Amino acid sequence: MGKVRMHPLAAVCAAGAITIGIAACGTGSSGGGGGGSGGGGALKTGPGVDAKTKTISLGVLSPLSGPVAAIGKPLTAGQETYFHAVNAGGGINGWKIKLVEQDTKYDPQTEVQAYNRIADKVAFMAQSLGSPTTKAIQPLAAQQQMLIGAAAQDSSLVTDPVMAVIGTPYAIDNANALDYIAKQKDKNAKVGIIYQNDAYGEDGLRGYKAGLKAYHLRHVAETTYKVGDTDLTAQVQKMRSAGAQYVFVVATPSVAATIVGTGASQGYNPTWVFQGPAWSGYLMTADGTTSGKPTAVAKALDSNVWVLGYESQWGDMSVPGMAKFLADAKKFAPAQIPDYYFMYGYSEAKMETAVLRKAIAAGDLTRAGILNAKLHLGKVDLGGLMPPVDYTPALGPASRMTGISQVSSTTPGFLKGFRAFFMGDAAKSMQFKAASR
Amino acid sequence: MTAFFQLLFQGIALGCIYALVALGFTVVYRASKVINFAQGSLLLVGAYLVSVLATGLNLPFVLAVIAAIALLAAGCAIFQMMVLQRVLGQPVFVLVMITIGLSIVIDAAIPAIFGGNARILGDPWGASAVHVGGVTFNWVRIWTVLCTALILALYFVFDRFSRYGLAMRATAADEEAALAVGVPVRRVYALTWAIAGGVAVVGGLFLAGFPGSVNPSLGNVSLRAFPAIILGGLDSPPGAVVGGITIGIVEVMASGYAPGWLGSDFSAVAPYVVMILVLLCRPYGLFGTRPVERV
Repeated sequence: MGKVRMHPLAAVCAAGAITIGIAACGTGSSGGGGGGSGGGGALKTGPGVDAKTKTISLGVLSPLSGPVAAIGKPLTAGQETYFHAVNAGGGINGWKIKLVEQDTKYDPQTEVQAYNRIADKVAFMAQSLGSPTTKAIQPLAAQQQMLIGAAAQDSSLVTDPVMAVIGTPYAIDNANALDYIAKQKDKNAKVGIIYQNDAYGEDGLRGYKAGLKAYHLRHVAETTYKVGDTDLTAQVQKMRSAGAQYVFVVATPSVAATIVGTGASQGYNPTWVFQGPAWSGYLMTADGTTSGKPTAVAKALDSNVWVLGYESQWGDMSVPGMAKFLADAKKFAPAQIPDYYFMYGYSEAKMETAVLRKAIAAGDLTRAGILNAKLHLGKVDLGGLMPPVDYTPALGPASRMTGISQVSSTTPGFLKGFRAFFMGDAAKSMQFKAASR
Repeated sequence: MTAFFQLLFQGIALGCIYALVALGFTVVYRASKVINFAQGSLLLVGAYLVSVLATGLNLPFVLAVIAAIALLAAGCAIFQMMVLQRVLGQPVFVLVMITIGLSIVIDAAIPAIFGGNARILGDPWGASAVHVGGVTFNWVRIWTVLCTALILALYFVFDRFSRYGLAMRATAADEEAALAVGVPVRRVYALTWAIAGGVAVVGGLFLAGFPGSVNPSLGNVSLRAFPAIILGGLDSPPGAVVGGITIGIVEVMASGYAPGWLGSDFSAVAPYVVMILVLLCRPYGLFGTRPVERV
C-alpha cells in the first residue's frame, strides 16, 4: 500500500482550525452578549465581536474532508490568506479577524449541526460552501439575521437578503457564452447542450435557453445524463450526428472529461463549452500542476475546451489586484498551487472585509448592523480577480459578467483567458426570482 | 449504421464490466447465500491499488495488476476468515449487514486517504484506438472484452475441473452434506471471497480506463450491475455473464435510441424494465436454480 497522501495544505488547515477554534471559543463567551454596547465607545456589538480585544470571529462552514474537500480546502485557504494579510496590516480599523472553521463534509445535516455549534460565537459566516448545504441553513440564517458568505452560484441564493454571493450565477455564464459565439464567432453556429439531470443542470439549461432566445443560434441537440453514468457514447453521438459545433457541458469534472475523451477518440472535436464546475486542473495532470504526469484525456482537453467563469487568469499581471494577491499567497500560503477556488476564497474575504469596514464605520457590529452594511454596500472592486460586486436592497446577482478561458496544457492553472469579463444582452435582462420553498 | 455498431461495441464493453461485478456477487452468493454489498467498493479498492502500484511505485503495469489482484484477493480472504467466519451460524442477514458496513468503511476511507481528486490509472492504452469502418475501438475497451473473456474462461475451467471448484459446487449444492463428506467448507468460503476480490481488481481497472478515471465514485457501478445479477440468476455464474452483457447493451442502446417521450434518462430505467420482464417469465432468472421443495 502507498503512504497516506495528504496535501500539505490539509495539515495546515487542520492545525489552523484547531488553534483558531479554541481562540474563538474564548472570545465568543465574552463578546457574545448580543446587542449590548461594547467597550469601544459608541460602537454596538453583537455575537462574535469582542470589543476588549478588538476581535471579530467569523464562521467557516466548508467541506474540509470528503470528496468535495478538493474545493473546500483551497477556498478556505484563500480566505485565511486574505484575513491573515488584513490582520498583518493592522486589521480593519484595528479590528482583527479570527476564523472558526467547521468541516461540513458537504453534507446538509452536518452543515446544520456545525452552524448551530458556532452560531452564537461568530459575527457572521464568512463561508458556506455548496448549494444543498447552504440551502439547509437558509431558514436558520434568516431567523437569526446571520449574514452568509455563500460560496455557491445557484441562482436562487442571490435573491435572499442574508446571502452574500460573489461571482456570476452559472445560468448567466451560459447566456454570455452564447452572446460571444453569436457576435464574435458565427451567428449561424450550431449549438447543443449536455446537462446533468438535476437542479444544477436545469439551472445551466435555463441560461442556455435565455441565450438561445436572444441570439437565434441554431439549437440542434439537447441531451442529459444521470449521476453514475459511466458510458456517455450515446450523448456524444447525439451531438455529433446533429452536427453541433459548440457543445455546452453542464456536468461534474469526471463526466465532462469522459464526454470530451469519448468525442475525441471518435474523431468528433467541436468546441466544448464547460460551465465553471465542470472544470478541474486535475483533469489535466496527476497533481493538478503543469509539471505533473498528464492524464489520458489531457490531450483531448487541450485547446478544444472553453471554460466559463468569473475569475481572472492566475498570474495575469495586467489585473490590478494580481500582484498583491500573488504576494499574499506566497507569504501566507506558500505551498498553494495555482487554484481558482483559492482565488475565489481570497476574493470572497475581500468582499466581507468591505462589509465589516462599512459596519464599523456605521458603528454597528450587531447582526442587524452587519446585514444592513451588506445590503447597502454598493459597488466594491475585487481587484479585478473577479468582477466587482454590487449589493443593493433590490438584491439579485452580484455580477452578470463572464470571462472565457481556453484550456491550455502549458499555462499555469491550465486556463488561458481570451475574453475578459463582459456582459451580454441576454444576461442583462435575465430575471432572478426567489426559489419557492 | 456506424452509430449502431459503435453503441453495440460500447454496450458490450460496459456489459463486460457488469459481468465481472456480477461474477463477484454470484461466486460469494452461490457458496454462502450472502449478497456481498461491498462488491462495488472492492472494485474501487482494486482501481486504487492498481493506480498506486503503477503510478506511485512505478511498477510495470502488468506486474501492478497481478500484484493488485494478489493483494486484494488475500485481503478479502483474510476479511472473510477474521470477520465473517466468527459470525457463521448467525442468520445470513447478519453477514449481509457486515458487508454493507464494509462498503461504508471503504467508501469513506478511500477519499480520506487519497482525497477526492481523480488519479491516473497508469495503464499503457490511454486514449489510443483503432478505427474500422467509422467505428472507434478504444484499445482499453478491446482489452476489457478480451480480459473478461479470459477471466470467465479461467473461472469456468477452475469451477469444472479443479478439486476446489468441485468443493465450491458441493458447498453450493448442500453445505451440510458437503461438510459431512469432508469438504473444507470454511476454506471454500475464504476462496470465494478471494475470487470476488480478484475479479474486482480487473473490473475496477477497466472501469477506470479511458475516458474514465480512478475516482471515489467508481463503486457506484455495483448498483447498475444489480439488474444483471437478478436477470441472470443470483446463484449462476454463466447467468452473471449473460446478464451483465445484456444489461450493458440495453443501457447504452436505450441511451442512444430511447424516444423523448420516455423521459430524459430512460437508459437508467431500461435495465430494470428488462429485469422485470425476465422475472415475469422466469422468477429465478435466466439461469437461476429453482429450489426443490417438499410440499
